[in-house]
Amino acid sequence: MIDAENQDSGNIATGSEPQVELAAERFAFHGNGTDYFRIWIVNLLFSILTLGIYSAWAKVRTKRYFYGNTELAGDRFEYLASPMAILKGRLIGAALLAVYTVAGFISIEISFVAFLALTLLLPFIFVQALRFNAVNSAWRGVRFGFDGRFAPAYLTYLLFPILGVLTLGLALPWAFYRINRFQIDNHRFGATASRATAGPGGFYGIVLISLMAFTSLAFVFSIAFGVYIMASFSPEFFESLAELENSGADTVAVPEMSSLILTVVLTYFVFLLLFFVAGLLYEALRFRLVFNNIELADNKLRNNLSAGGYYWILLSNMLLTIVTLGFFTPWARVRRARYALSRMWLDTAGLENFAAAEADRVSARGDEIGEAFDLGIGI
Amino acid sequence: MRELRGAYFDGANSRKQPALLRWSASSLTVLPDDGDRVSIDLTQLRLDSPLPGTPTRMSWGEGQSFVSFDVDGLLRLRRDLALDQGWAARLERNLSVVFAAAALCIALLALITIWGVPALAARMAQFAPAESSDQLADVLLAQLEPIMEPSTLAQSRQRELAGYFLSHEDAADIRVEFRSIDGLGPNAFTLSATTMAFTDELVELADRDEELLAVYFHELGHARLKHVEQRLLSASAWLLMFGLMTGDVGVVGDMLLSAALFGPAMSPYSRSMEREADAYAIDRLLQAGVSPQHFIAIMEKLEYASRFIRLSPESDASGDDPSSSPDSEEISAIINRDREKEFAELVLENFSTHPPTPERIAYARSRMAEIE
Repeated sequence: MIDAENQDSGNIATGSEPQVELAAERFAFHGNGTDYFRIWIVNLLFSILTLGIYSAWAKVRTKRYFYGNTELAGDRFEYLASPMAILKGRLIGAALLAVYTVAGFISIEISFVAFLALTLLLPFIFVQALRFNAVNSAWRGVRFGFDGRFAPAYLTYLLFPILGVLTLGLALPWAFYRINRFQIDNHRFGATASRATAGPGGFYGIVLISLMAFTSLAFVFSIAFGVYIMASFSPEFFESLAELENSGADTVAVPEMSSLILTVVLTYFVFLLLFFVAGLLYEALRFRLVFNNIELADNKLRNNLSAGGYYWILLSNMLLTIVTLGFFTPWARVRRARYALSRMWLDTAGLENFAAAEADRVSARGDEIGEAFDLGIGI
Repeated sequence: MRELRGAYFDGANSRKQPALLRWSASSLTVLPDDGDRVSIDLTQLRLDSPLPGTPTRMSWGEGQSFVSFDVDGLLRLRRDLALDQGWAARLERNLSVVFAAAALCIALLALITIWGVPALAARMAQFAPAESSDQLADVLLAQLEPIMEPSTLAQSRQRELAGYFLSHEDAADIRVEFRSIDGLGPNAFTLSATTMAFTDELVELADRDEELLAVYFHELGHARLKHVEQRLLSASAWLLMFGLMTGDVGVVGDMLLSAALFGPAMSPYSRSMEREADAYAIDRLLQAGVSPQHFIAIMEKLEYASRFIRLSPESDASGDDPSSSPDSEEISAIINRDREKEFAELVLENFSTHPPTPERIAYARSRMAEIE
């Protein structure tokens, strides 16, 4: 799950493959919110008290908890990164951020140059982050790996998305498809490479569904809003508006005006919210697509996630986290992991014979630069 | 000799070998059920700190590892070999520590949010270059463009006012823009440390230029104290803070979380900033030898106007309408009556960015009383 990504949107022919007995090995998540809350709150406290220094140790402990509670075929995943490596990376990331911030205080031109430089750094940071995370993830003592090269990374993370925007979004789902392919195809478990089987069609599909969801939500809301306006403002209000049009009076008392303005402002926020809500739907659909379409030699990663169910988890997690001012976070993370993993399995012919690759050694820099900029890589 | 059960992985492949770990004070050996025994060099041993629900893993050499769920056995192993479990694990297990940590986190976060971030932002804003402030104002003006019209005030009047302001204050670095804004009514606002804007309606509402000077000084207070820059910095800091805290809700959730927490405060200025700007304005008026009475006069007119919104700009062309300048008794009556009876107003008041007008007027009066 950790390094897995997706594949093609579905019906890849299976007929051409040699006949192997495939058995389903299910994933499971054993963590619970209360246990994780204890870890989270101690992490939070010491991260604050040490002005962020402890966050490197906090991160390792958190990832170890989540990996260690994730089971496949009777064995747990392992997170092996050293906190010191992460701290080093985090300090470099913070220094970069500081330079960028200071640039903003010097002049617009310098700040723009800093922005360009950061943008050009991004694909490099992405690749380093994926590599660091992969190499420090293991199962049954065998580490994952990531072999993405920088040139294709620049095409994938910079050029293709820019192309997507230049084509007014028409090529954007294709760019998403390429990003996914780049990430999955370059991952390996030990010496065994994984392969994405999700095609561009799948990505166009999920973008389209999310857009349609947004449009219909907006449509329904607009109608409801119209009805609300008509119902909640007195007929006198509309009369006084009409009167104004005709009378040419300079100043007229319209006591309900402020609530009308308030309603308009609220409308703006509701539309923003609808956009976010549709974004979560995209996230749920993407997760299902990606993690249903990964092959590792003869093994196939599958899930029967319900888009609606997963979507509900994401949405309610977000709302509860907001309502609790962030303190629901531990339960939200556990809930999400438990749901997603309970619906994932690996169709496999046997998990005994994956060979490890030459030991990978990578500095934590890439990963933690990514962290500092909140790139949100991985699961 | 003691032992515990677990699984051995040789690190070369994913084969799982059920095994026994056997130890004495000076040796540690893995005995796979079917395979050769493996001796572990104690100096190379790395034993992970325990986490609830997860197996404990020990590793050594080139990626070899032994994993076990045997909690009691592991406890004995740690004791016999004098291996520490780490203080984090100890703290997490102690319920009173967990509660204390939660209380402390809430207190610290509240402190940082309410006091730390704004204080830091106030410091940092002072370093913002004028160039950035110009840029910021341009961006804001561009965003307002759809609802703004060019001013209908005569160029000569605009120049006259700008010159009048400058004659009282050496503030040539501050741009004063005049605009007509749909639906906003009489108003003035600071866009950044270098730019402020007056609406035509405000200029028309004032009966004397001294009243506009009072507004100008108020906005100048915002500009000189870099209030807009402070708010922007605070908003980013809050966003970052909650992003780090919640991690998983993503940028969207962070924004909503910040909005929920700071919704009232996220508006351009906080009430304390308004009070600062008022104090700045009165100081400058007194220095310029202009009575704060003009400040009070324009406040009352603005309050009055906010309740009676002008909806047909065409009628302005008809010229001066005496009804737009009611006498002050009439104004006071309306202000007070509305305040008492409208519940909705009260709710709005609590979320509004400005202190209540009567409070601001009372402040101006008290400042006047001081000098008398």
